Amino acid sequence: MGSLLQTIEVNKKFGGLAAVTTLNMDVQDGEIVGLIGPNGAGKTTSFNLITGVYTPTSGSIQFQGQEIIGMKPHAITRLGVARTFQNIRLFKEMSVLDNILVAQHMRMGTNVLEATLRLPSYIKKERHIHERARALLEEVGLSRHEQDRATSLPYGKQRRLEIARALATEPKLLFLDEPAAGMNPQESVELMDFILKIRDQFNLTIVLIEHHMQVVMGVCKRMYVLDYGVTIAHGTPEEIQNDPKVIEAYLGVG
Amino acid sequence: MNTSLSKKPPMSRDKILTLCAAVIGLVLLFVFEELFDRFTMQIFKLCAINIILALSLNLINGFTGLFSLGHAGFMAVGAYTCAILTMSPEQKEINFVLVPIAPWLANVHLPFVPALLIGGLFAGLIGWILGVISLRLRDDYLAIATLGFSEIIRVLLTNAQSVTNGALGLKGLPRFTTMWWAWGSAILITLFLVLLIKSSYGRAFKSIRDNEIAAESMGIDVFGMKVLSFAISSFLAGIAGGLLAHYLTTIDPKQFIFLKTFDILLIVVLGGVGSITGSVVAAIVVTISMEALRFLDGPLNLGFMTTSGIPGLRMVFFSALLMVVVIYRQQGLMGKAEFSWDALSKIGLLPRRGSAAEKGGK
Amino acid sequence: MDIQTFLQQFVNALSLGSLYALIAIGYTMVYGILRLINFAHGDIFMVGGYLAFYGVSAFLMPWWMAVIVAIALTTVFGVGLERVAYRPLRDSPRISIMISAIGASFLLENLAIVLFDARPKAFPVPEFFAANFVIGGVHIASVSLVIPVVTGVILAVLLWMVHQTRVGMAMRAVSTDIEASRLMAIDVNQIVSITFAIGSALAAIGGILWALKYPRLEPLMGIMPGLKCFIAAVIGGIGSIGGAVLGGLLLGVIELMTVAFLPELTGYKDAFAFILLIVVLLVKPTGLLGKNQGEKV
Repeated sequence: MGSLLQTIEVNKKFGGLAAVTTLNMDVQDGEIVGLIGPNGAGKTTSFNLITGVYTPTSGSIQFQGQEIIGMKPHAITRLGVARTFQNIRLFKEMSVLDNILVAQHMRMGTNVLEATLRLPSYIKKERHIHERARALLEEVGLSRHEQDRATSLPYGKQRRLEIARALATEPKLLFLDEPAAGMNPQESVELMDFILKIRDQFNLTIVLIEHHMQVVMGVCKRMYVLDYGVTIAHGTPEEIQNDPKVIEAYLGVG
Repeated sequence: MNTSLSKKPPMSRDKILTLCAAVIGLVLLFVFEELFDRFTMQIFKLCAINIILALSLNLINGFTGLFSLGHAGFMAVGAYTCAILTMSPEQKEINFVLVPIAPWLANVHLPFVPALLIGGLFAGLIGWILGVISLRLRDDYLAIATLGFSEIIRVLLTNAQSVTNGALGLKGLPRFTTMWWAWGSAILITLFLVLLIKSSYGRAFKSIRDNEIAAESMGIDVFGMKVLSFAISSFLAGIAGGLLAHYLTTIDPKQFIFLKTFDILLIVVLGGVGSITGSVVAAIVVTISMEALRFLDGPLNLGFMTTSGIPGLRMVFFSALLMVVVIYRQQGLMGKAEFSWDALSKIGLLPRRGSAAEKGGK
Repeated sequence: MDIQTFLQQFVNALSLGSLYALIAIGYTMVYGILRLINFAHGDIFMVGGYLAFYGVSAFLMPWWMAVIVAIALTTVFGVGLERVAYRPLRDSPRISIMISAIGASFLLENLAIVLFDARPKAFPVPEFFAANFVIGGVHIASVSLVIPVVTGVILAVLLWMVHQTRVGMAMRAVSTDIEASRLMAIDVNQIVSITFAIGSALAAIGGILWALKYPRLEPLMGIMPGLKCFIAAVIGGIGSIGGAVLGGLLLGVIELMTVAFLPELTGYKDAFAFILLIVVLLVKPTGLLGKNQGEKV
């Protein structure tokens, strides 16, 4: 197993404000890694840096050994990096099915004339992505809602749709930004099982931001703790739990 | 929905109905040609041209979610290109009295169809270039920049006298835009757009409209898609411009002032931003009522008094209508819904599909 | 070119630029508060000009009274327009409110054609404004002196108001974050109305000064100045009053100086503003004095 993702000395400054300082993350193939820290610690910013939404001020980010800084988000997604958003970002006027289909556009390898003229080659691809989309919806238990408007779904199902949509891009590495936000303990347990299941089923590597400690400790083998943009600790759940710096950051002692 | 993909028998009720509607439409075109005078025919032609304009603006504004106000400019490019290419050398000599036409253009003389296509392609090319320049901007900044481009195009047309004959415009263009060309193009383009919007590209456009950041993260090349949508929209506007030039037979730069874009925007908003059906219906309704309400501008007999004619009252009505719709019914006529035979049966205009079978079962 | 021609053109440019600046301030204030391009601003400008015209010619008021009445009525009109056309859409998508603004502009223009007649009207210029001075060989119409003075005074008053008074503080708060302002018990509707009142009053003053400078009224006279002044506001950095003034002056100077010294470009005069706009938007989208605002992901 080699390094799938490596961030080396990554910094991000907004104006004079250092949002992320010397981020050194190393994610191995097949791992589930947690990213935790208090609000405003720079977790989502780190996601945005790795997925290309923001460009780092300095440093290097390598995915499968390839430098990805400067690449547009869609190009990074094409390499096999997918994500969900903290504040759900579904295609709100589109159906549940269409939300998944959009995410497969990139992998269809079609052109606008082929698609508009409905050439047989296009119809074949279209049939294929429909099948795959339906299978994914089945997987996340949203088959019944195929034709519903995405935003008409209840909150929990919107989160699952977002994950299914990310899976539709055929990622190797999946970033989940607070997947358990707003869930009750029962749902959180289900979510943990779900995360483990998709990891095995789709051969994924997963990085997740989560405040819900039960979830993080339950699924992550390793985690990074950020505070004010600085990585203050990194290790197994047990190591993190006993790290005085982490306790200080969370409880504000000192 | 997508008929090619759902599990229906090959010759479903919907296909039969569509076929019937097409035949009726063709027959109607014939009948109209026989039945109506030239003035009425002109209005019907204008309906078709406005359908194309509304659809092309809706593609960019309604489906891709980019507020562009540059349509008048792309129409102008299409109209001028097509007109200059179809004018005979003699006609050009008559027109270009102040400044002679540039020699490389003097003897160009093409038939209508290639000229129309070249006009559209040229408008599409300009749209592509301007799109690459301006589509990094968003919302109102994009709106004002595209409006700016359209005005720059107009100023260029006014000043490039040896190519466009400047403010004098071009007169005596052949009346190529027959009922068949106007409606043929409108139907073809409507079909093209329906297929485009229902394709994977259409879904990509809509995803940008709904959430640009998510679309980019799902692997959609947002900028490339925007430019594509903008270029297609400009191409269609150019085609409409060419048809318009050979419909009016006279064009000058003033016709393509940015207010022309607002006329098209009116149709798109009334029909429903993001509905092809809405644009088509609204284009027809607005075009016909613009003519039907012409009496408002003339002398009015109110029973107790007779006004001596108030020019402009008609447009007051339409601009007030635009505001009322935006404030009280933002979704316009159709919202984002589209016509389908199923929808007709839902509101009771057609018998329900399979209703007999259901009854039998019970 | 001699120094005299240069000074002559400079005086003209200063006067036109100040006028642009005055109208641009109205745009920038409304945009700062509501993030709305008030497309109807140029038409409010036109209404101001016409009201002053009717005050003098139909109601036979002395010119100063006609001006005051016209400004007052236009102000009321602008506030009313916001109530009717923009307020119901405040929580709608930005495109809707922009379409409403376009509709309002469209409606005002067509109403003006119906009510005021499409034929141009000659604006009666009082002697005081028509007077011509010659200073060092430079011809100056007194209106060309009045305009920069008026703009300067208004700018000073506005800057004082925005930065030193409670209302100004509330305005800045609303423009930074409308929701938070509401939570801080700021009456957002009132602030928006005040902003529209100021913007419309400035548009009216601009319209009247314009009519004094170019004494010809037409229903569509507001379109081009309206667009150019919006562009001036964007160039300066929309939302910033100083930026609007800078943008207005810059636009006036560029327009007149180019025409004066590169006469072969005269035909392209109306395109300058747009070209400048596009260049600024691409190079520095926030304008010369604007602040950066990006979408939070």
